[in-house]
Amino acid sequence: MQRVIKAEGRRQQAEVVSYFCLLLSAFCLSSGADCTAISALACGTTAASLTSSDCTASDGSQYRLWQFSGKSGDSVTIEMHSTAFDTYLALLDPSGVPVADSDDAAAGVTDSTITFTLTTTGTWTVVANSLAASQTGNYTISLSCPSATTPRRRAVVH
Amino acid sequence: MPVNRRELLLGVAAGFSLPVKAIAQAITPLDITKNVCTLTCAQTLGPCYYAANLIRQDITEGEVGLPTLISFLVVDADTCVPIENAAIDIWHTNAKGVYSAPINQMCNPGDALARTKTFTRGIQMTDPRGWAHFNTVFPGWYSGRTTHIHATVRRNGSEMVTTQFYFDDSLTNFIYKNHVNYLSRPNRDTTNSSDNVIGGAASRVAPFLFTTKLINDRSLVALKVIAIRSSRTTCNA
Repeated sequence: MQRVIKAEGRRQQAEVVSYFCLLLSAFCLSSGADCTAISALACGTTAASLTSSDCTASDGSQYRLWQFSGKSGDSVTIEMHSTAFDTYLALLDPSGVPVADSDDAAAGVTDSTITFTLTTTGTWTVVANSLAASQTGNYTISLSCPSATTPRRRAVVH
Repeated sequence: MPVNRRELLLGVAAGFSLPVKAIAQAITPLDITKNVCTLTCAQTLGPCYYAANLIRQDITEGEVGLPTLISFLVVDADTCVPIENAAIDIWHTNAKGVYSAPINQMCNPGDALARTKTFTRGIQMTDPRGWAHFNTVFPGWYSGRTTHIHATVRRNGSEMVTTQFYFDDSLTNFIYKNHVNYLSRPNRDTTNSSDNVIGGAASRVAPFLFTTKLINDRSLVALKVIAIRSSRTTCNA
């Protein structure tokens, strides 16, 4: 079966950004170059760093946008881990509507986890964010893609 | 023609200057990790409650406005342990500052259609980690009150606290003056510092403020910890 979540290669990153700017031209012009930075989120774990030059949310915290393609009905899990800061994750649907978020994955843990069943097919956006302002540093972000299922082999009768 | 969510989002992005960093500098960052166990005090129920009893996460009912995800964390005020299966019942206005439901007409004056609907009302149960989430739109304003969201928390059917939560004035002003669905009424007449329910001082609003994250000026998440006890909260703000 075809893998239902398509990891977008880095070569597609520029296309994603361009598409975003085409739709939201004034946004791209007005919000500064840093906020147009959208990275493709591949299946598996990606190492990254949150810095003061990343996008700034209204609470003064920094965030980075990651995007992946998914199909309606797919169940995905997104995890963000950092030893440098308290993480916060949000998931935006293809229209930009925030549909899920996560502060702490469990009691006593400052990492974040979202498990969500996609409600529509399209490009979904993950907001990798620090919970509070002035929190930056290295982190990892993971996307679990539905595993490909192997069709059951039929017995061959000769 | 009605404007759908996508159109309004594009409208916001395409039509207005959106100085996020200016907003970020204007808003005092709140750390949700601090003082999370401070008992949440009661505020007035108000005249616009309606027992719709709608258990649902998406409470928009097609209303347009800034898409907003509200996430509440309910904890025990004495032990700081997250509380599972607490019912959070919220209600607020739509982007025009109008409540739904057949209630006191002062809540939706002259809007007969709103009286037939139940938008921006809903109940969610907290999960094992104490969280409950609502998909909604940022509330509009009406004369005499600052922008607010009502909430009642119940456990096993018993009311623990009824209160109201607020947004930073800078963020609210920014949304009203820049978002396509609020632009027709950009100048509200009451802020947090002049609201009579809060008590007329900015310092009094702090325990009731959401931590908010406006993402790319088109998506808002709002976080709030509610600390309750095993019996009804008696402190009043």
